[in-house]
Amino acid sequence: MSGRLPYDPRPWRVRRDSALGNSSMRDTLQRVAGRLSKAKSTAYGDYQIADKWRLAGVAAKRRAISQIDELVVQVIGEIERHGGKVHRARDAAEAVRCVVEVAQKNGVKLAVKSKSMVTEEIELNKGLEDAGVQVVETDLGEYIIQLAHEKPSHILAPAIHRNRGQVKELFDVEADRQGMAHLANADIEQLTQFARQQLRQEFLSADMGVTGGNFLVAETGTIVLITNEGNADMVTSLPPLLVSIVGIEKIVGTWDDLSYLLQQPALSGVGQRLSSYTTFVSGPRDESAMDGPDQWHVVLLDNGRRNLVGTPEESILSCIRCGACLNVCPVFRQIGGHAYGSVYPGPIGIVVSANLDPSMPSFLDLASQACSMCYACSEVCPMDIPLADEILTLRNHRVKTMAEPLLVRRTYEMWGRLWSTKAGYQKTIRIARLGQRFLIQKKKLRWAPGLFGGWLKTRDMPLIPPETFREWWAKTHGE
Amino acid sequence: MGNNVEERVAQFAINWQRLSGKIMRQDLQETLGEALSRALEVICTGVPEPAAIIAWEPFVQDLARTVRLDCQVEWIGRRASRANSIAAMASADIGINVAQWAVADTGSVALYVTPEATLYPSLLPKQHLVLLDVADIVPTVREGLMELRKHLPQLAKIITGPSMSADIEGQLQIGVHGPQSVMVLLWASDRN
Amino acid sequence: MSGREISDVELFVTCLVDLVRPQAGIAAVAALEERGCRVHFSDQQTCCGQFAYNAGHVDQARAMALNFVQAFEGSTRPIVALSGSCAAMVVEAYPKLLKDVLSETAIERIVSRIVELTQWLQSSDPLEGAHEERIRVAYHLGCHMRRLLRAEDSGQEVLRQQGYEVVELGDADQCCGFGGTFSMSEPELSTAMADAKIAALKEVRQQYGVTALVGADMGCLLHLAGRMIRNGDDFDVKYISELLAGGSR
Ligand code: SF4
Repeated sequence: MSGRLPYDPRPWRVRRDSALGNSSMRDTLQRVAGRLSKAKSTAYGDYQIADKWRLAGVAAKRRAISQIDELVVQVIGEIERHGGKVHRARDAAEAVRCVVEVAQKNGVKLAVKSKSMVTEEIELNKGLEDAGVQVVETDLGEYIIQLAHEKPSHILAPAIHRNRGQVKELFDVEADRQGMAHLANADIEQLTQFARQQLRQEFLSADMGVTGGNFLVAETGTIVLITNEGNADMVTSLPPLLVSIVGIEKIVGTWDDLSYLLQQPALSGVGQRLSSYTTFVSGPRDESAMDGPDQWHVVLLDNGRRNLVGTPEESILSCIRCGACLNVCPVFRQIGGHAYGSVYPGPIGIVVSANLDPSMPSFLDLASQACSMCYACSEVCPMDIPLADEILTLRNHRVKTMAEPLLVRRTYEMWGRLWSTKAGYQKTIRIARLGQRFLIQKKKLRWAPGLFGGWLKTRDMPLIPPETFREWWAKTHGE
Repeated sequence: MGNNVEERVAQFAINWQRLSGKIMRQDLQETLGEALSRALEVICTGVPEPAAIIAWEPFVQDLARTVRLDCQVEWIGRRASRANSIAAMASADIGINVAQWAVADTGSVALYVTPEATLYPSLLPKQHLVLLDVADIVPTVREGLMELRKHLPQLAKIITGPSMSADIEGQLQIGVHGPQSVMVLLWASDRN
Repeated sequence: MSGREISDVELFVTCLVDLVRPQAGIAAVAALEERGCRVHFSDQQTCCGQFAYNAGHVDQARAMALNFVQAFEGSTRPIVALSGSCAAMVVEAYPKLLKDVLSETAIERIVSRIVELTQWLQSSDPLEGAHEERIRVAYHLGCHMRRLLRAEDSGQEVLRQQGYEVVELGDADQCCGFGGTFSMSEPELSTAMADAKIAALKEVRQQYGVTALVGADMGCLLHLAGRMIRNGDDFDVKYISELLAGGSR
């Protein structure tokens, strides 16, 4: 069964141009993404075991995916043996329904969340809010975009598209709402401390915590969360009820597997050997202990994932959401996450969105729109996912299913037919020479029909010269 | 990677400090209580008096009794109810934990929730102090995880540096939700 | 040219060089001949088919690939390609593209003969008599040359051998935004990427006084030059062969 993903209904043109018009976002993005990419290569460069372990991690992920059905059974058994409750959700709607039910049964009014892409995928906040549960995002970036009613624009840095002034404006509104004084200025440290104070209260009074999971270890039913701020530790240890929502592809077989993978997200994402906090949840709180929830629910989400197992695309399920492919992508660096119109942006976003939810044409179109085929993503991916090849496969699928505009298809058909023979090729030279005589203005081409016109919108193109190389060759080396 | 304790200590120290973690070590002539006093003296500068310090684990509580400080402190321990205990810890300035193990290779320390230990001291106050027996430093994350798997507490965490975020304009900020400053006090038990 | 062994090579000039920058092809012939090659040119060649392949139009790409095979199957000489990207197309994509229409050995026979120009030049002896004064140029390495052919240094290396001082652009590993027909179907985005590259170029122009932008992929160069010209900047952009033929120095 294929899944459903939320999408931005605005057309690509609008999404792209609004991103290209946001120069402060683009500046920050260039700087941060560039820095993270460099940090990544240095981190692997001076750390001997990193690459060896990475390869062992890749093998572990691939193995887990090929054994996914068995591992799901195992993980359910283990979690329940340790006192947790597992719910299986075939799609986004089922997952949301399940969390809402748990919340309602326990009279939850306030839920605190740590950052989780999968909850964005299922639009959990909306579901909970519709059911009367207030949801507070506690990751600093997520908190900011929640106040702005936006979606994350980067897997790791969700609010990277906003500058400090814009953040202050949001915090001022929040301060007004609570009758507090505004911050004196948009100092980043002050902004951070404002969020700390606000959120501290929420942590202490929340009825429910919600997390995702970076890994789920089948042999003990342990969820592993990797964060830098410490909010996931609050969420997993303070509220009386904890719900963890995890895509089935996050399951790995053993702790041995985990040991090779654990450092990879931080190494690849931010160039650190480990993130500040790695949190392991293996069950609800023991009577004798202080920390942890009284109840722990785990929602295992499919939403189109199982469908990919056994297909040529299954390697994309190995993604550990490190964000490295986003950081290195020249298109992402220009347009940021929102332009993709999916909760999953960047190269992996193109590939995952279209494969999890094939019903959405705008996801498939991204493969052609948001990629220059530079292969930087394939090169950087720690899980050896052939991202560029996957994008190419999607382009090919787009052609095969006639999803391209007719005119474009005809252009390629004609071009391909002509250029697969010498005679056809020479014919295009004659036509082009003839054509350019009519189109020339002030010695330059300013407009041309079809695809080629796209080039001339923003760039010049030299004219076809009086003598092409082959004509020169024929003349000088002639028959 | 079966190198000796001192090599692991050195490697741990480099990696821990790289992440802006502070480090102190018990002197040969010093009792652990005296070393702890010295460490707390450093942490207490910059904390308004009296500094509220969480001493939860029995081991830490015993030590706390031997601590002599110039500054005024108030020790926070177990209260009558869980809620009261959490509220008290939430208003503390300094938290103390004993590390289960540490990783030389990454500069990390691991804490477990047990009937005697809580993670809150590592999370709620702005200053965190970890007591680490040098014998508990393992070379890489792998050995640590195998340990963790053996005990499998309901909740555990590996700490690698202070709480931080680069969510606003990509500028690094420390002390977002958890501690702003983390210190390790290295000591050597009889096991060494 | 005493002491050099004569080697026979086929030239794959590529559609872009043929159609818009013939002087780059002519210079390549000269550069090869000066280094002891006898150059052959099969005029049945057209295009490697990459533009269609990367746009997902596999059938069209296959037809062009077959024409390529026919153009060159008459000999066993190395095929020197004037583009890293086109060479990568043959090496990486042809085996997948042609596997149902040609035998594995037939494919291998073609694929194993492809060499990109600078890779070829790097493995042959440099010309004697480098520049007296160092001329500084900025070098742009195309993404497919970097990541698919893994020819990361050959271009810079041959330039250095001939006495040029090569300056790297900041964020050199970032794509210039050409991307084949991506440059035509997504002009706004493609140009935003070009502008980032041109900004990096501007920096080295100011800092090091480089006199030209040089590359071994015509697509990238046309895209960057076209953008600069549109903005009224006629900074010198050259295909690498134009700097390597003795006559050019
Ligand atoms: S696809 Fe690879 S590089 Fe991209 S987020 Fe996933 S694991 Fe990281």
